Amino acid sequence: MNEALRTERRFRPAEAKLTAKSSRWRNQLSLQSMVWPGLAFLLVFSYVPMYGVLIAFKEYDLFEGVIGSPWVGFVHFREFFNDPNFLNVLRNTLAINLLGLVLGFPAPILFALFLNEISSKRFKSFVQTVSYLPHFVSWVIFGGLMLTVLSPSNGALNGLLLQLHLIDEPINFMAKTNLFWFIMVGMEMLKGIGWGAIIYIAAIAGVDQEMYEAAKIDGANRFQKIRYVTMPAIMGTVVIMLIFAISSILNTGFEQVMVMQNALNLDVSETIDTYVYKVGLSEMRYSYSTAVGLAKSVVALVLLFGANYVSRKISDSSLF
Amino acid sequence: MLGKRISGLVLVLSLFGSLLAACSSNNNKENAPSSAAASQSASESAPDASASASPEDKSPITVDWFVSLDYYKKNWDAVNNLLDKMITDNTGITINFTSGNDDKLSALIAAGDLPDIVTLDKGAPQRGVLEKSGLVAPLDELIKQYAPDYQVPQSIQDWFRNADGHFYGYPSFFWAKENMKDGDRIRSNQGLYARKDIMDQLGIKPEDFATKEGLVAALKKVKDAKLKYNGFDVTPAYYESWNIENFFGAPREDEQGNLVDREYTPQALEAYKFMNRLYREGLIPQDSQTLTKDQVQEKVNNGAVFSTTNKNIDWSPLFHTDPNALFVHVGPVAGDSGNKPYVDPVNASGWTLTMINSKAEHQDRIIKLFQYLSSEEMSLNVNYGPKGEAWDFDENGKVKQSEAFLKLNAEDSNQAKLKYGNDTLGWFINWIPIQRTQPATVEQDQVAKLENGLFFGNYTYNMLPFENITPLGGTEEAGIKAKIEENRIKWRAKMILAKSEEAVAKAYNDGIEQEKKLGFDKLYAYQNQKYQEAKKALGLEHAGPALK
Repeated sequence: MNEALRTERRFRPAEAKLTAKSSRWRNQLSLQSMVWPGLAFLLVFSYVPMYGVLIAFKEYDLFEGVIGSPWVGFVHFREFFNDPNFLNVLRNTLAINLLGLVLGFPAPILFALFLNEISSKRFKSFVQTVSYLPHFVSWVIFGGLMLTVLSPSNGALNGLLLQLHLIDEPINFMAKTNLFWFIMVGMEMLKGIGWGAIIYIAAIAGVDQEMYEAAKIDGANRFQKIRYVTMPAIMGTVVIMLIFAISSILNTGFEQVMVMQNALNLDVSETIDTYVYKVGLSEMRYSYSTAVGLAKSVVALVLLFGANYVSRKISDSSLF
Repeated sequence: MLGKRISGLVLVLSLFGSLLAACSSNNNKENAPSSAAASQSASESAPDASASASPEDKSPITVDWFVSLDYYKKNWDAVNNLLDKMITDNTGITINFTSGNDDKLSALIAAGDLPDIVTLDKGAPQRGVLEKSGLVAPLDELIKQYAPDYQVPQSIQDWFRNADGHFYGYPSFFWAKENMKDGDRIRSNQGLYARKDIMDQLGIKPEDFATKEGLVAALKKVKDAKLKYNGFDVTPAYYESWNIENFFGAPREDEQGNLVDREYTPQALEAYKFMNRLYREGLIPQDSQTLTKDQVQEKVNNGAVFSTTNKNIDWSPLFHTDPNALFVHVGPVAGDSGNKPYVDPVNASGWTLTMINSKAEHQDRIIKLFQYLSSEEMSLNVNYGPKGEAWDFDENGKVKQSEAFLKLNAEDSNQAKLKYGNDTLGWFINWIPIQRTQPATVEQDQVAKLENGLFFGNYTYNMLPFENITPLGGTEEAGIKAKIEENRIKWRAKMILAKSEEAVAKAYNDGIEQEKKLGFDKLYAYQNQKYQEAKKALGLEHAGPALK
């Protein structure tokens, strides 16, 4: 202890000469010490492994390593973009995601708004718990359940429709190519609506209650309060979530699609992720898979910046 | 201020300190047993290294064994499990099994963390990687060094030998011609089967299935009878198109001895047209294209299926609820070309390969374990459980399972597996001695299955050269093959479920065109070259089923 004290004192005269910046650094030492391990973690586990994207431009050999494998340029990119199936998998990926953006993105927002209007606290937390429970079920199980529900031979949905005399014979839902995208988006909503609503519920909880009181005095009804108080207050959150959603437009839930695929719907169900898994990863073609992953990331980055820029211009709220 | 700063420092230091402590204590834990094991092995291997490696060395060791099949689970239990006890007693080896899929194996390879023994599908892309990298030891050299009396059939050695002159893995279910005696026939998992009770009820005979018209008429009878079994509608048939192609005699080689892709033959188109006809007449359902094998199995269990082509679908559960519900062999249906029907045998070149890590500590002991496990009697032991406890030979030289085993197995087959270890360690199994000594049985379903197997055994051929044409993992050809396979799934469904025969022909041509775009010619050139090499290695001029 004495040692430490003396050390402190010895450096004290020098401190006076230090710039304001570095003295601020020293004052924040306890805080800084919490930031640096996180930063180091990020560097070691997220940035350093990025050198691996080099293999997208090489013919990767497990034993030559990333550095030793021979360069091949854009061969793998060319293979993917010239693939006769490329347009098909791109279309399916975009269709599922755009549909998800139009139908699936607003759903948790509406859900959070409605949930906020429930006055019984117990009922509210009950609904919330029930709605985000499916999030914790894996896609394999959830998909299996859906396949059973939609089954033409003994599925509950066909049974119901038959009972109601809405249809005369069972529909093989998973073989209907025009329904597949909607089924995907519907499943995603069913599984993710409660979980997705959490962030909006948190945003709503942060709204100043006095604004509601003011609105009430001004004679606003429920819907007007939602429209003129809640919505503007959570708009920042909505925009940020939208930017994220747009930037991940080339990603589809891999497991979800994989589970629901079959020979009859492959034309509309093959997405970039599942296709590259089948013809790349499972055949140990790591370079090819990395090339496609890299191409996807570049597109995602462009979309992220683009969406961010547009949002900053239009709504004044943005990620950075 | 100062106090705050110091407490901050203390906090950081203690944080780092605890991190370091965690590391070092981990290291200690890991180091302790491994260094002990190392010194132990050093003392053991010293005498073993000499030429007089004693097979009697039964000092206890533990080896790690990775099986690249994620459903495989086995906990070594040399106390309660009679098979494990027998192996540990005889070799001194305790096996620590782990398992996972091929992706996990890739991760183990990349991490340089390969266990002592690895079992993988012989067609897995990881195989080439393991063999070429020196990660696994050449078996021939280990045998020469440590187990000179270990006789591996020449055909196994030749078949798995690489360009470098070594072979690296021991196969399971390999049909080595050295092991075959008169009357041994390679079996098939394909065939044509139908429910006997329904045939009797509707007056259908097995011969009816020998022609296309007869088959359609037979299935129509089933459909028109609107049969209900246990409340389920009986579906006339679940067939696979490639089985029908084989029945129609699609050639696998042309007159010059070049490889032929069966999908490119007139018989293939004929088969798709036939399947489409069955579909349009309501004899095979739409879900035949989407159901997994397990789902079809469930329908068979419910008695809701009249006829199938897949022998692997087990109908014993159905038989146990209804002793009349037997599946018997029928047909097989022949096509218009006049070619003789055939079925593909199970892979003669086996299923899995088991390899030894070139850095494994106890290579001498492991190669002797291989020798021990690959004897004919051990094939019987791993299939039925240890001899003497689970079975013994009867006076005809056939296997007779013990009363105790049969009783426990009937009560709870999982308990039987835990106690006898039957069917839990098949990585060295040689099916020929098992087929030869199959228990004489009075159970009707078993008799029928035996009979079905023998019947379609007559339709098999030597498929060995065709088992060589799978491209190596990581290559461009492997990518093309995956794309084409993927395309064929769609393509088949489209043809079989087409609205008219003209639509089948159109879809067929579209599919061929698409395959050309995906790079079929390049894949074919590779496959044909591999096929020629295999024929040369086997000393054959022509191969494939006899069609005339």
